[in-house]
Amino acid sequence: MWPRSLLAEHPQVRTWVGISILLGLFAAGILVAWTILLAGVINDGFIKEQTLSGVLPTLVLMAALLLLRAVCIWLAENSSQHASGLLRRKVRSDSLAHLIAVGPAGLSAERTAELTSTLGQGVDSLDAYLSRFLPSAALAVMVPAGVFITIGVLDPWTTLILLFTGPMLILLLAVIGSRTRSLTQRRFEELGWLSSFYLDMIQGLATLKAFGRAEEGAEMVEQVSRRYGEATMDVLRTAFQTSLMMEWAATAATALVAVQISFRLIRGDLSFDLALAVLMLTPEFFAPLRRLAIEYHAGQEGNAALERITELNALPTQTQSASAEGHGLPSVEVSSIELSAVGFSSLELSSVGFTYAGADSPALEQVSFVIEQGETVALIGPSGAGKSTLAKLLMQFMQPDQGQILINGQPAQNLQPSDWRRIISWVPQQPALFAGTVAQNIALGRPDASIAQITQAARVASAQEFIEALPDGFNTLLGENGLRLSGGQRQRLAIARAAIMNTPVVLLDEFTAHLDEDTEAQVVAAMSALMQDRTAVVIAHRAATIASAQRVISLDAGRVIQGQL
Amino acid sequence: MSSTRRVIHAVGGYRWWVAITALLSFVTLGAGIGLLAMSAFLISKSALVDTTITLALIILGVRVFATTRAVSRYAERYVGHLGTFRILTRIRIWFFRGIEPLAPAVLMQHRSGDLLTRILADIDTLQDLYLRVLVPPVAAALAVSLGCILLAGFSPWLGLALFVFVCLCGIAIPLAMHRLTRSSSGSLVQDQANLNATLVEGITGIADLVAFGREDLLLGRAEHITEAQQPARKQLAQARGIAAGLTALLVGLAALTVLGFGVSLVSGGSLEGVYLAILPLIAIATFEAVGPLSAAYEHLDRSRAAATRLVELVDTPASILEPSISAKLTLNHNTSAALTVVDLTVTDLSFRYAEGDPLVLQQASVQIPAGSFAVITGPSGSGKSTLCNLLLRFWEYSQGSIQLNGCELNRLGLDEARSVVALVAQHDHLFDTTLRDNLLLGDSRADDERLLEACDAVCLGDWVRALPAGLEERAGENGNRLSGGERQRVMIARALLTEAPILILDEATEHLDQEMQLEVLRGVLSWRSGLTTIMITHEAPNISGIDLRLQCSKGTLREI
Repeated sequence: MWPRSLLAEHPQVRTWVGISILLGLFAAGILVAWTILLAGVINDGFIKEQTLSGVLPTLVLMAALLLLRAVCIWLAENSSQHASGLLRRKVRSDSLAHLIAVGPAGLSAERTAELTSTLGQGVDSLDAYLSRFLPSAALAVMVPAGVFITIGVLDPWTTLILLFTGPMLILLLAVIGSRTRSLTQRRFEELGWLSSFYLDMIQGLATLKAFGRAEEGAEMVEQVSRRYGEATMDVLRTAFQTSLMMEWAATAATALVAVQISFRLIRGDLSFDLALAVLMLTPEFFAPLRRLAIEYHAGQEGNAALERITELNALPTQTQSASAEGHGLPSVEVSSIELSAVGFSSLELSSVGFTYAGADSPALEQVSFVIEQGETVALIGPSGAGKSTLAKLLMQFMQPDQGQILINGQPAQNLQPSDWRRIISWVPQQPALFAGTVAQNIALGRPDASIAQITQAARVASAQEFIEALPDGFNTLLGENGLRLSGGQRQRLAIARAAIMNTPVVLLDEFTAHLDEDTEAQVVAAMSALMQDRTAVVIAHRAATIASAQRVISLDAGRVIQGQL
Repeated sequence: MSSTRRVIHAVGGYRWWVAITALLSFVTLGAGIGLLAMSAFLISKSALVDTTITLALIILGVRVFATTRAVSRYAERYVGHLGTFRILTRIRIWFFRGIEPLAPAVLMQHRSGDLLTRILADIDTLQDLYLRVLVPPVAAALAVSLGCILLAGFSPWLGLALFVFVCLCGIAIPLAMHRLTRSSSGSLVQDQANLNATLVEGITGIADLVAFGREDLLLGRAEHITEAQQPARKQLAQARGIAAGLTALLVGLAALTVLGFGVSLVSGGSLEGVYLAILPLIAIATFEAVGPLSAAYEHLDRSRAAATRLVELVDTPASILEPSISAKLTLNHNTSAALTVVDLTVTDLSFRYAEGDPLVLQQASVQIPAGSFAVITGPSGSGKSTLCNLLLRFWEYSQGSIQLNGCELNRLGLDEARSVVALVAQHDHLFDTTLRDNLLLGDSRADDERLLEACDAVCLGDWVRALPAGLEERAGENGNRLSGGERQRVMIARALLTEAPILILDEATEHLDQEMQLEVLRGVLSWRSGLTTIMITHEAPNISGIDLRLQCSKGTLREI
């Protein structure tokens, strides 16, 4: 089961959870002793008719016990928080690192908002799981056992009632618990779905307005929110029913114990102090179980998050998916140092094929060509011909399922993708801009670049002029969607981003699609100046770009129809 | 007025839910007091070997209290949560309606991950406002009164002693907690928003991050935020631990004090010994009511931080306001086709996005008669898209005029103004639903046949028919299951369905190759014969039937 392997993987976390449980156990032990003492004092005052001074020493001792118990509770809370803090950081970092290793191609089927809610709120819900549910679960076994033994010593007859009701409650908890599990799972999925829905709504709000449908948007928000509320209520109702049953069984058992004891008291089978102690201890037998019923919900939520996180962590990374195909090649690691020392000499595709999961026909089939160092090659073809797929393969966002890509004659999968990306830079179709200044966005791949280098890159991309016209020039803050930048301006930022990388190879993915003729001419001129000693692969369908290319490779329906070597 | 109050009053309808939940909560607490007191009394009476008739009555009491407690606890939780979820739904709608006027001018300044946090997590946080801030004090006040009055019935001093301890626990501890955790609770809400924004941004742009070796922008920042939360979380745990420890201490001390008092009262002869066991148990049961109070302030602080983030956005003045008296558009009808047609006249229009920004439009003037096909060309950044934003009333203009059939655009109601102009722009959104639903946005009454006709007009009909699910095919997150060209054509088809008097294609065919571009344009023009179509592009298409060629440069428009 998950929690066990989770704790086994993180021994430090296990230690702190263990400490927290021990402290909780200690606090429970003190409470049992205190309760017995309380019964004693009442007995002294009522039956033995002692005065206050007679019971005062016991009262002082009890106060001291309370102090000790308070300290235990405080320390237990701290250590479980410590444990969940460790786990939260570890799980979030590990999962994110894994997602990055899975890469853009592997994540394209996932929903951004759902991933966000899993890694954000989902990971945070491990908190309640670890700091409340796990200790409650452990204590729900240990404390009742301890109380049972204590009552057994004080009055063996009462244990019969406990023996009957205790396991029944645990059984009840298990039955209802298994029902809650699937419901919580559903709610967690619903939450992921809900996040995606709202993100979609927020990002499309302007479009909705343009079509005069904002009011319908509000109605959908209402429906979806209702549905989420209902899913949550379904889970909670079950949780509440659990605690209703627990509560009822516990109070009924207490009442039964009280009645049973009172009859034996009347018959003189039992002394008053013992009877009172047993009566007051009985709720303590059920208390941990009731607490568990309350925390069960939190536990299930954490469990659902964990399951989703496990699923994410099982997504194959790029290198795994490549090796899973079993090319049977010796995995000779070509280090980046070696590569940069040798330099780039050629890029070869040999019978490369790729089929998307679930697609009927391959996106690329038997694609072969060689690009030598210094060449400018244009890739053309109608939309859907496989140009974008080829770009993803060239960027090593994914690996071909047939054939191979050779770099300097070496199979590319022997090369770390990150090392390859130090050789090649990329101008995507739809560049993502990040919160930060214009300068920071240009210097994305070279965060240590100087102002001079950034300005130079902007100049190369014909972007300097418009950037300097922005309110704060290079220091203008951009939102995630590139506040107020036109499509062409965003494209030029992406070109500047690539220019600053100064890599031997550049890959331009339909980069002139949004540029007007003037700007395009400027950019093409600037890029070709920059590309003098570089290798360039340009995916384009415009004459201006193709003109500067030395060679044109034409793709159709996933195959090279012209320019194959 | 504080932000929480503002939200509470804006959505209203909470009083009854809170009152009923608090009352049920009080019944639960009261039954708890009764159950413990009765049980202790039963044992004590039995010790005296009392008559069985009173005993039977007491036993009945024990049973009644036990059942009442279990049932009312269930009802309290059920009603409380049900009410809260209803209120949360109302808050979501209130928030959505509140931010709707802000799109896109104001909203684009916020990261979408941050907005998502507001509508989802922040509003979820507010459920604690009702269940854990408003309800417990009311229920506690009632239950404490009951406990203290019961004890005072034996001796006023007993009631007073309990009252003092309860106040320490229910007022002093929460206040101290509040001081300790105020800043931490607020900062956690903000940190969560930052984390979500970072995650959305990083996951959306993961290809760029990976390509440029900047995975740290996602991983590093997320780690940094998680790390930065640590002190606040630690402080909260500290405070929670201290509160839990102190509460346990005070419960015990209250029981001991009451018991000590009781022992001296019994030995002094002013109290019967049979009642002694009841006293500490009433004290312990009463404390159950004040336990939740220690966390109330923590929840209030969090709710306040969340509510502030909601109110802050909803209270942002929209850049566009509905005109106080909406003018009615004079409609011309193209009698042959029964279509609504509109003449567009722009005169001396100047515009800048913000004070201090350069002018994007400078005295631009143009006249586009109804039914014409106009092509506007010009370099990027010359103000073409800004003109669209103004026509769609996404931004307010103040210098110059835009007239539709001689009626000033900003005197029209917003919905009416937007019904005149349909726009297809590069950054338009496709919703993560079926193709059909996306197309229906253009005309909700269209049947499948009509939808396919629109697809045919943009050379997409055969593609849709060939899809395994046809119109049921999902578009994916912002249309990411479609290729760039398919995505653009779905958006054009959607806009065609509106039959709006004016259609603007803002670089809407740029992902298509030239041949396809021309074919789509021909389809669009024949669909819209008699209606105005404006095409904004870098390069005028080589197509016949262009009535008007305009050049846009540095914010001015010029006929060529």
